[in-house]
Amino acid sequence: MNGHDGTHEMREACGEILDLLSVDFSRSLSLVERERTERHVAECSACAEDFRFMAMVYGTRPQPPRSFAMEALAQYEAELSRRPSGWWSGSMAAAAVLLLAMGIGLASQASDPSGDFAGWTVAVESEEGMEDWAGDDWFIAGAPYLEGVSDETLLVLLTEGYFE
Amino acid sequence: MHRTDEESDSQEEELLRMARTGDRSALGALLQRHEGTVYRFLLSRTQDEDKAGDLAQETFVKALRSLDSFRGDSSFRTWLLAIARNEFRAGYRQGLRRKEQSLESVVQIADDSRDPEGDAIRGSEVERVRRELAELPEKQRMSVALRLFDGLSFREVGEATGSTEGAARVNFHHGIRKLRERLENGE
Ligand SMILES: [Zn+2]
Repeated sequence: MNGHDGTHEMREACGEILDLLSVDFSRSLSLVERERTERHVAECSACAEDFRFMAMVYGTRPQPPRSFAMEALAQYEAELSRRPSGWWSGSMAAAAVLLLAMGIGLASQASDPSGDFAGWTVAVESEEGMEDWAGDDWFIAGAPYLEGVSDETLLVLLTEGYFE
Repeated sequence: MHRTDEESDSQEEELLRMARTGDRSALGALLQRHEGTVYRFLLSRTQDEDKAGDLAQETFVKALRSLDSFRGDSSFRTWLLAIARNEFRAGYRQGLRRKEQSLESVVQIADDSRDPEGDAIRGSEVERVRRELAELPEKQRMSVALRLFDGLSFREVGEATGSTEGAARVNFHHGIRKLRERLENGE
């Protein structure tokens, strides 16, 4: 317990106090920790200096210029509203498959294959939510109304150019 | 652990529970709790306000899309910072080539901006601290920002900066000491 040991003990304590002080600004200290740091700082000028310095730096804390969280939420909600709804992917998908089947029948009989079938395709694509599927790769992406159509039928539709 | 942390944790659990039911105000409140932390993490990483803002928004969108996959193995904040880290990496890869190409012109612009008016703005205390903080080595800078500005534990700082808990603590202490030396000794 000579002076040297005392100094060493004090340094150990100062390191710990500095750790605690560094999160005091974000209110992460418990009451016990806060009392401990306050007692220490009242008697240790080095830690008091460190605390003042950190408080000054904390004062320069940058803030987001606007709410990116709320903008993200709005963006996410817009995404959700563009997705096919349960109503669409259920009964309407079944109806669309039926329309496609009818279209195949009509087209196979028509002299101009782009006639009635093209009309059906436009009707289907104008449904809300279809823009998600109607890109360059919409066929490959697996448009919901093609569920249940066999691979053979899809191949026929593709090779005969119905998706162009 | 900390009493205030426990209170905050239970509030967060409740917000998470409500957010998972699709409660809009809970979703907003949950993200806004960590908005500053995510933004400052990305700002410290990119040193660019616009990039940090874009990446922060993208981080929150990704989080919303995959909220169901958050199992609570880490804190929600740690999970968000992991997404932010990935977003930074993805954005960095995309921007790398462009950045290399424009490096010369950026340096040129920095030199051109040495006008009296600009110096007056940079001379203000806040600008001076921010400038010196920006000059610290990356891991020291990020450790100081995450610890001091947002009260992260050293374990969280380590996870966010790709270091161990011990290295994060050392980086913080070195960063603070260096920052103080620079600010007190002047230029
Ligand atoms: Zn002390």
